[in-house]
Amino acid sequence: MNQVIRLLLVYSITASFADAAIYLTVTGAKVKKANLMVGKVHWTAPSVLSEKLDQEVAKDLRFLNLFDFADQSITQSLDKPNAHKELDFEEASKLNLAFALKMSSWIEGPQLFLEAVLFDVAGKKRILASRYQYPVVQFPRLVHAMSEDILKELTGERGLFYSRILMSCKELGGKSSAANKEIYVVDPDARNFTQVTSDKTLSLSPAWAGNGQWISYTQYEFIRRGRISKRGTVLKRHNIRSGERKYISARDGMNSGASWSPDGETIAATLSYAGRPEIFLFPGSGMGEPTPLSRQILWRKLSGEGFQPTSVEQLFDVEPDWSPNGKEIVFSSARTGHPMIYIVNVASHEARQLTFAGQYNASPSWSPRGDKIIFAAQRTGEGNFDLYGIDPDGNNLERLTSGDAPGRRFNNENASWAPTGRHFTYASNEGGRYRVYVRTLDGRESWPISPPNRECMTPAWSPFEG
Amino acid sequence: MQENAIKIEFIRIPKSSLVCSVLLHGGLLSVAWITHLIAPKLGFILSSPEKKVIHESYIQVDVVGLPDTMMDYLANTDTTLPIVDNVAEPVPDLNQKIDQAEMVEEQSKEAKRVKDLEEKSAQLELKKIKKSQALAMSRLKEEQKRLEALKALKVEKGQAGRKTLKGNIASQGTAVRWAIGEAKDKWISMVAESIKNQFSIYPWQKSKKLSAVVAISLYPNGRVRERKIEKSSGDATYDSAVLRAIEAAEPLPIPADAALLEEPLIIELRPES
Repeated sequence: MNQVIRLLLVYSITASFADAAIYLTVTGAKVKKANLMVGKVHWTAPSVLSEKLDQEVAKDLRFLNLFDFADQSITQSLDKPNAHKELDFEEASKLNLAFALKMSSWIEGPQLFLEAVLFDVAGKKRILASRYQYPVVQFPRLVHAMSEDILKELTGERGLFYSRILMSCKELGGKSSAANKEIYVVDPDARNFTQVTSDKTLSLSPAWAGNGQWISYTQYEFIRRGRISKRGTVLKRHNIRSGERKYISARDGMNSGASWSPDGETIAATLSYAGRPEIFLFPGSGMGEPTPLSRQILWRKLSGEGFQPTSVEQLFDVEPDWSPNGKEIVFSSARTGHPMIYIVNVASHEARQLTFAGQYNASPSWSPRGDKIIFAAQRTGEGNFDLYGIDPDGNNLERLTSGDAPGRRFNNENASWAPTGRHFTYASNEGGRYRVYVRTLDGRESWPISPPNRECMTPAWSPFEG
Repeated sequence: MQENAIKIEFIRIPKSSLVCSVLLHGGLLSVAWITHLIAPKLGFILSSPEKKVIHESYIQVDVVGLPDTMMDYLANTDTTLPIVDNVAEPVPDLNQKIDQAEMVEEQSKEAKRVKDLEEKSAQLELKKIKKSQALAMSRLKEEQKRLEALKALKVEKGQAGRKTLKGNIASQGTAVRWAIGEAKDKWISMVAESIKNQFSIYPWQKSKKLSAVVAISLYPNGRVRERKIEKSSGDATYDSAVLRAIEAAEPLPIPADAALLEEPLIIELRPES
């Protein structure tokens, strides 16, 4: 984001006559991470978990991407055992701390307890004081619960850890056919990698419904039409809790790339039964006929004013993704020759081209905050795919990943936003084969979440699952 | 006889071998046939349907380059404005030149008048003119001081809002000079600028619609005499960031017209415009 901070200068002409005061407005602050002291987790009795818990806390807090961390050797005097509920604010202020987190932990039977207190040094007060209790084996979840509370308290965001990520993976070196891909789900900390489908076919492009209960994906399947049976794509929805499955669409040609509207009422998907790939809207129930969207689109003319209707020969619209307010859909289209990103208003059908740069722009994903769209793009014809961010109004085009290091070229693609709007997941073949990673928007923290023995792509980060 | 022998030879082949041979050949044939049938479909399956793009040009758009350098914008938030050294630098110089040129013109005019007056031996008039010259000189000095203050605002990394400063200076030349309103305008913008340069907030405060109003009054040296939160943002850390910004901006620029110091400054601070 090219942050041009504008200075608004407002002063009242009447001020000097009426109430003899000068008014001015200062806007455009610099953003600085808060200096946080993270104390050691103090144990009432020595524990083998001690080091692991400290590591987990540090990893979680780094991933929140809100803090700079004060050196523990400097803040040692503030972090004495058996004193996690108090803080010497004067001393903390001298050490330039903005916040301090102090923790104490103990084990009772199979249960692990953690008391965490977060202090606001400037406000000289405790802003969070909670006790967490989890089975000992689930100690990472305990730390995630604390991290979620800190995140919610400071930012109002939810769901960095209380969420899951879907992906489509191919098993490597297994006995099953090399072409098979199944849908898997995993926690953002790479734990609990679980297989969702086992249909021994290609299962692709998973997506979440707004409520996190239903998912959808594309599968290759034998479709029986009368006496003819042929292999093609079908779009299915799948209740991830009950396992119930239904078809959304099994028409001729392509049935893929479903995206659920935030209220779960509408599904946008690409179908090609009418000849060319175009976007249709389904009722969220999955029942009923789709209504065509692409062919109703009124394109904003590239030169001059006004809109032009879509001609059927132009249709090549894929990969729809809803805006968080449910009013617009971003998608990629090859109507100008090079696939580019477009935005269409669902009610008025008016569309505009969002990106003009590069050779090939694809798989857009709209931030849950609504302020940014990430897409994968190829800069040159033979180049690799990298992720770029752009504001929905077309400003602040910026590069988020760099996969064209000299002598080493790899792709970064298929971005999907975390519910925070400051983190995302994506697929990269940086290590040779495709794996799914999570990452902070500024790229400072990132780790793979798919196992090394599988090739995984098209991740989809769930909404907040409280 | 010979035919009979062949027949016998043929029959001698064990039946199991014959069955095996037939089955194997049949199997081989069917594998070949299935592979032949499947091969084109297999190719279609392996290519991801989403990535299949037919390049058909309808409206050819010029290909623009994507940014090739990483823009780590959270890391860069401290340098939020473009460095405009090369743009802003000549502006004060230009002004100085204008000022000097005008001063030279003024001085030469006045020198001529002084000469005339000397010829007329009007000592009183001469005194007045010398006084006005001194005044003009002091104004020039003041102007230079201000320009120096502006230069001083170009703090480290060049992030100070030089664009705004440039605009302010450029407008100076075209407007009525020494006008009270404009001097005040300029001073206020300098105050706002120096506070803004010190104003930093935490990542989570950026997207919130926060606003705090502070009233301050100044000593003639630019130090803050009084400061008071007139309207709290409701977020204690934001309020303290606001007060910190004002504290860090001390000494604030002082106005040319000292009378302005008697009026309190009511400052509203918002994260984003």
